[in-house]
Amino acid sequence: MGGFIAGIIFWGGFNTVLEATNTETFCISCHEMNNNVYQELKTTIHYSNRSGVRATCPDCHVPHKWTDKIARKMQASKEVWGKIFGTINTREKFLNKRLHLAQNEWQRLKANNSLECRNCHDLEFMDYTRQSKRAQAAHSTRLESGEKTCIDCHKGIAHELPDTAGVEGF
Amino acid sequence: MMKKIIFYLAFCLMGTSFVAVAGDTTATLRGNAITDDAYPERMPTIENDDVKRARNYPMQPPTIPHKIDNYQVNINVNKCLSCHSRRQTEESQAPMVSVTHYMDRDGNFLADVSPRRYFCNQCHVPQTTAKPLIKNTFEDVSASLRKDKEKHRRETASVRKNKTILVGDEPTQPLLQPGFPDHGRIHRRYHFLGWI
Ligand code: HEC
Ligand code: HEC
Ligand code: HEC
Repeated sequence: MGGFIAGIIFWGGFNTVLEATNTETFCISCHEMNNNVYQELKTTIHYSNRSGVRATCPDCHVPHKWTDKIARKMQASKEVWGKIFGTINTREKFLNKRLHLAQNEWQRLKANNSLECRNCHDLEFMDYTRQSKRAQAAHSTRLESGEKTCIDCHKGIAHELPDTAGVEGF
Repeated sequence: MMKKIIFYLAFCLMGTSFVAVAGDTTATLRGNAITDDAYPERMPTIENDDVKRARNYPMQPPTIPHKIDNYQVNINVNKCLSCHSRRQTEESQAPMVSVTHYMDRDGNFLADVSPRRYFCNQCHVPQTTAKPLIKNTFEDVSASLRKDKEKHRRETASVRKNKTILVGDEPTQPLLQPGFPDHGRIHRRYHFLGWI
């Protein structure tokens, strides 16, 4: 944390710190992330699969573009502050906050048309003939037409979901 | 001392022969002697072709024709219902869960899925490509009924041939004539399955 602030003060160090904080190791160095979301991610296809390609926290949560990245970092540091001030330092508190945190992510991904998903999954290169019938039917219609974006249909792809009563699509 | 050793050896021998016999003759699904390390079978894969399967009896909960890996079903979310609930089927084009799932135990209709039907996987399961280890001799109810009907037909045919009809006053009419209006009634007299 100290390093993070120092990095902001000494502009030269900024990018280095940005890179350092842009790793999964950094994200899960804080135990609230390690104990909750990281453990859940481990059971999903984005952690272990037949191709051995995996997604890390920043792959889904940090934009690749520099300006977006900074903006996101400011937002993420709010979550870090939450930790420091002890608002989400237990599982219960995390679960209580989860809907709010998830909604932030849904909103972000909705607004950028699921940019982070598309950094790895490019519709252009999806071979529908190799997808299941359901996937094919959904992707070739509502996704392709732009009516929906990945996160509209794939909520909870990496973590457990909070109570979704009232959330669109459930 | 010597006696003791002999006794001990004999005991051991008995033990080994017993194991050998058990290994050779006991029918197991293990496929190898209990003392050997087996090479595990390949894991079967989940059938994911979205093709509906026949039900083995009318009230059978249909099996799931796709994979459900990591589908969350708990107090917070029911991923299955995000496609199969009444509200969602127009968009998903998935089959709606049966209306019975919207009833309480007294048959009253509810606005949403009944709590007793909430945990889909208690009744519905995906299928894998695994070959059964033991042949299943289950017979579909329609198949057994057809067999019964055949049997009955053969029996009544022989009864007619031997002219030993014991019931009813129909013998003047030929039995089992196709299109004969009383066909069903005659059947009923001979066999309770005739009405089917
Ligand atoms: C770092 C790259 C990466 C990112 C970012 C990423 N994915 Fe994936 N995704 C993968 C890989 C790799 C697989 C597994 C491919 C395989 O082996 O089948 C996968 C699989 C999937 C699957 C298939 C699940 C299944 O059970 O078959 C879905 C759905 C999916 N991703 C959705 C998303 C969504 C939605 C996002 C954005 C929130 C996203 N992915 C972001 C790499 C990524
Ligand atoms: C209109 C809803 C919808 C949208 C939008 C959508 N998907 Fe899907 N997707 C599905 C369905 C339904 C499935 C099949 C069921 C499942 O895997 O849970 C699926 C399956 C997949 C799979 C697995 C393919 C397979 O054959 O099983 C991947 C990978 C995937 N989606 C990625 C994406 C990505 C990336 C996006 C955004 C670019 C996206 N999806 C947008 C509905 C959607
Ligand atoms: C495949 C993309 C993906 C990966 C990888 C991923 N996340 Fe997420 N994350 C999401 C999505 C999408 C949401 C929005 C909520 C949802 O749909 O589950 C989310 C939500 C969150 C939330 C908000 C609370 C919640 O659970 O909804 C936190 C915190 C979070 N992620 C942290 C992490 C951390 C830490 C890692 C690395 C261990 C990580 N994420 C890896 C996609 C991902």
